[in-house]
Amino acid sequence: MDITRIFGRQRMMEKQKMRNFMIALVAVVALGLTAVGAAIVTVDPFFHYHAPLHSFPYVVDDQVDMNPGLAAHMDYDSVLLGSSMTVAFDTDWFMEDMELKTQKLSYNGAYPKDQAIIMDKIFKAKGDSVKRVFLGIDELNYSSDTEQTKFPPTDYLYDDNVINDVKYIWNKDVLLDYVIRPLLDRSDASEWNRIYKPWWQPMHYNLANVRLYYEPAEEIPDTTPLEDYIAGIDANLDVNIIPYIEAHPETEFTIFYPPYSILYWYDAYRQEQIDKIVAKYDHMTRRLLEYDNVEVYFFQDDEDVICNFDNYADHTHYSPEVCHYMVDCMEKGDRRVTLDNLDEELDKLRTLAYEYDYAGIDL
Amino acid sequence: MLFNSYIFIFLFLPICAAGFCLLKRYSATCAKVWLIGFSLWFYGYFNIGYLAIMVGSILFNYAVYRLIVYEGKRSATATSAASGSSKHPGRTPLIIGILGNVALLGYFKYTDFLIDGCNHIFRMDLPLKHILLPLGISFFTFQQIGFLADSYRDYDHVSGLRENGDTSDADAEYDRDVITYGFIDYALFVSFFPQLIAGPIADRDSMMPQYMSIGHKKRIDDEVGEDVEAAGLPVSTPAADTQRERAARGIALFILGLSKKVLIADTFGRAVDYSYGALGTGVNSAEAVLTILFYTLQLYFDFSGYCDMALGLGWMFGIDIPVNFDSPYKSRNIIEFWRRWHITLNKFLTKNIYIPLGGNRKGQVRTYVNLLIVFLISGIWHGAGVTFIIWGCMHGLMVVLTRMVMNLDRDRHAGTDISQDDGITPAAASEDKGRIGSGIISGVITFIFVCVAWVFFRAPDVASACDMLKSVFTGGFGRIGDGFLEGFNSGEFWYALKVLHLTNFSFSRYILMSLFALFGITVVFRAPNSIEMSRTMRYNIPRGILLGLLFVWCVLSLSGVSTFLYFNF
Repeated sequence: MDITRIFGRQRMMEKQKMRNFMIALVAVVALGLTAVGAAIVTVDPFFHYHAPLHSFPYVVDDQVDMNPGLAAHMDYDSVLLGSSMTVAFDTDWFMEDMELKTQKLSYNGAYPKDQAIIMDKIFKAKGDSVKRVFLGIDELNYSSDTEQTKFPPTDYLYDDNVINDVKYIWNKDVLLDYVIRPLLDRSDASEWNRIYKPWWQPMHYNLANVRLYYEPAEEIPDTTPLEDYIAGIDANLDVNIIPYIEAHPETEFTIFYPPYSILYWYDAYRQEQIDKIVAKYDHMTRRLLEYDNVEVYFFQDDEDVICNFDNYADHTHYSPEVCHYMVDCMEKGDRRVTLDNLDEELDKLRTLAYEYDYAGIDL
Repeated sequence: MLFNSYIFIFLFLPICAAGFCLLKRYSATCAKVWLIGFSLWFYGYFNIGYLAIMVGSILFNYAVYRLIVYEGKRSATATSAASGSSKHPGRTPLIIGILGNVALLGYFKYTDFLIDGCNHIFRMDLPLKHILLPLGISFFTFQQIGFLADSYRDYDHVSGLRENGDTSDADAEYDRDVITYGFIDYALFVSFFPQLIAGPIADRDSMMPQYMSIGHKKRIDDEVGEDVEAAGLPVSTPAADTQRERAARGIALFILGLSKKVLIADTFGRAVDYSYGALGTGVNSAEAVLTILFYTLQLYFDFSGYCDMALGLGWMFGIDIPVNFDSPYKSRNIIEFWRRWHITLNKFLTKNIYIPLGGNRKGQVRTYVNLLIVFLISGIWHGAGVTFIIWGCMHGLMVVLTRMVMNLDRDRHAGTDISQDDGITPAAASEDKGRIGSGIISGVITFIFVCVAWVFFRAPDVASACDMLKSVFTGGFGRIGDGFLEGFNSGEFWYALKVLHLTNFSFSRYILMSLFALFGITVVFRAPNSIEMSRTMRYNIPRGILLGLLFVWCVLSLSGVSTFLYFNF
C-alpha cells in the first residue's frame, strides 16, 4: 500500500474521530441541559410555573425571587405584606383567629414600590378573591422616591417573557441550592406558615441582645422640612398604594404601624424628629382612612409592648409573641384608629416619646 | 452582547454560523454582509447609540483610506512632482485620520479625566460631562489607525523606491503588495464581532487576506492555498485541517475560554471585589496578599479567556485571529512578559509609535526615552485615570531597567545584543539562556512586580492602591474574613466536601479557596495554555464528553452578572 493511501486512511480515521468528538459533545450538552431544565421545571423551587409539589422539602428563603411565584401559585385568600417587621408572623394565626388562609409575602427593607410590585402579582393572579391585605407600613420609607425598591426585581421571575426563563431553568444556584441540596439535607425545609422567619431564637429577645446592635443616633437635628416628607408620602400613596385600594373595593386593607421599641423614639428625640414623625403618621392615616375598605391599627404607642425589651432582639424587631398579639388585636378590633380617636392616639404617642425616662434605660 | 450570555450562545452564534456557512457557498459578498450585519447587532445590543459611533468611525476611516489610496496611486503612476508624484503620498489624509480617531477616543474616554484634572490642578469647578464610553472604542480605533498607517506605509515605501530611482522595484512592489481593499472587506475587518469589543488588535496584513478569501474553497494537504493563490491574493495562514475540523477546534477553544472566564476569573473576582470594598474598614495582611495574587489571576483568566473565545469563534468562521496571550506569567523577565501579554497591543505600539519615534536607532538614551513614552501611552490607553498612568510608567521603568541590566551583562554572556533588536521586546531577552534575567529568581521577581503593578490597574484610585499595598505590611495578622472566602464556597463544591466529610473542621472554610488558588497558580505557571491544548489535543469521544460537561457547567453558571475587565478600554 503506497504512502498516499496510508496517509489518506489516516486522515479518514482522524476525521471520523473528530466527528465522534462533536457528536459526543453535542449529545452531552443536549442531554445535560435538558435534564437540568426538566429537574428545575418539575420541582420549580421558585414557584414560577406551578404550586409546590407535596412531598418536596422546599427551602423558602429568597423573598425577591420567590414572592412573585408564591403570589401567583399558592392557595390563599389573604396576604401579609411589609418589611422585616412582618417576617416573624406565623400565618396559621390568621387562620385560627380570622379563618383567613394568609400568604406571607414580606420584603426586608421594603419600599412602597416593592409593595406595589407584589400587589400587581397578587391581584393579577387572584383578582377579587383576595379578602384581606394586611400591610405593615414603615413610615420612614414612605418619603422615598416612588420608583425606589430595596433590591431590583429579578427580571425573569417578574415578567411574562418566557424566553428569559433560561436564566431560571439553567441556573446552577437554583439547581444546587434549591433542588439538590434540599433533597440531600431535608432538615432545612421551610415551614409554610413561618417562611422567612428571623434567625433569632427566644433567648435573643432581651435588653442584652438589643444592646449588642444598638448605637444611639447622633444628636444632629433633622433639617428636612416636613413639607418634603409629606410630599413624598403623598406621592408614594398616590402611586404605589392607593390605586390598589381603589381598584379593589371588595378587598379589606388592614394597615398597621409596627411597634418599634422605645429606643426608636429615643433616636427621634435626639434628632428632634418626634413632631415630624407624628405629623407624618397623622397625614398618612387621614389619607388612608378616606377609603371605606381601609382600617388602620396603631401599635406605635403601645407602652406594654414597646417599653419591654424582652419583646425585642434589636431596637425595632419584635418577637413572634408580639406578632401574635397584633393578630389578636386585629381580630378583635383593639388598637384600631379612626378619625374619631386618631388625635388622641397621636397625642399619647407624642407624650410618650417626649417624656419617657430614656436615661433610665441601661444601655 | 457578551460571549458568556444565553442569547449569544444559543441564538446569535448558531444563526450567524449557519447563515454564514450557507451563504458563502453561493456568494462571498452576501456571506460577508451577513457577518457584518450580525457584528453590528452584536455591538448595538449594548446600546444602540454605540452603533452610530462605530458606523460613523468605519465610514470616516474608509474615506481617509481611499484618500490615501488616491494620493498613493497618483504618486505611483506620476513621473514627476508636477504630474502628481509626491515624497510622502497620503501623509495628509493619514494625519487627518489619526487625529480624527484620537479625537473620538479622547472625547469619549478622556474628557472627564481632563476636566477632573483641571478642577484639581487649577482649583476650578467645571462640571463633569459623564459621557458614556462606547465599549471597545480603544480597540477598534487603534485597529483602524493601524490600518491607515499600514496603507500609508505601502505607498510611502513605493514612493521612496521611486525617489531613489528603483523604478522597477517600485513597480514590482506596487503590483505585488499594494492592494485596494473594498468597503465590505474593510467594514468586516473593523466590525468582526469576535474581536470587536476587547481585541485582539488585529493588523491589516494578517486579517484582510483572510476576509478577502471568504467564499474561496480551501482544500487540505497538497492543495492548501491553491485557490487562494489562483485568486491573486496573498496566501493566508495555511489550514492543516478542513474547515469542519477547524470549527471543532474552535468550539473546544471557545469552551475552554468560557470556562476560564465564568468558572475561574469570576470566582477570584468575587474575593477581589470584596477586599477592595472592605479597604475602608481594614484588610489584614493575609487578605491583602491574597487579593493582590487573586487579581493577578483573575485578570489573566478573564482577559485570556475572552481572547480564547474570540480565537475559537474566529476558527469557527474560518478566520485566524491573532494570538494575544502566550502564558505570560511564565515569563522570566519583564521584556519576555510583554512578548507574551497583550501581544497585539505590543505589536501595534512597536510598529506605530516606537519605531516612528526612532526605535533603538538613535542611541541608548533615546531608546530608553522611546520605551518610556510607549509605556506611558499604553497606560493612558488602558484607562482614563492616574492609576493607569502609574501602572504604565512602572512597566516602562522596569523594561528600561531590565534592558540596561541585560546590556551590561552582554559582555559576560556571549549572546545576542538586545539593543540590536528594534522592538520593544527583543526576542533575545527571553530566548538566550544563562544570561541575567533568564532564571527562576528573575521569573519570581517579575511575577511579584507584575502583581504589584496590577494593584494600580485594579484600584479605583491611587489612595486605594497605596492602602492595599500598605495593608500587606501593616494590616496585621488575622483570620481571613468570611466575606472574602464566600466567593469560593460554591454549591457544587459543597457537596464534594460533604461527601468527603471535610465540612466540620476548623480549616474547612479555607479548603476551596486554597484549591482554587493552587489550581490557578498551576495553570498559569505549568500547564499548556488553551490555544496549545486545542491545537494539539486528540479529539475523541471521552474528550467530547468532558468538554460537553464543562460547557454545561459553564452555561449553568451564566446566571450571575459578569463583565469583561477589558471592556471599557
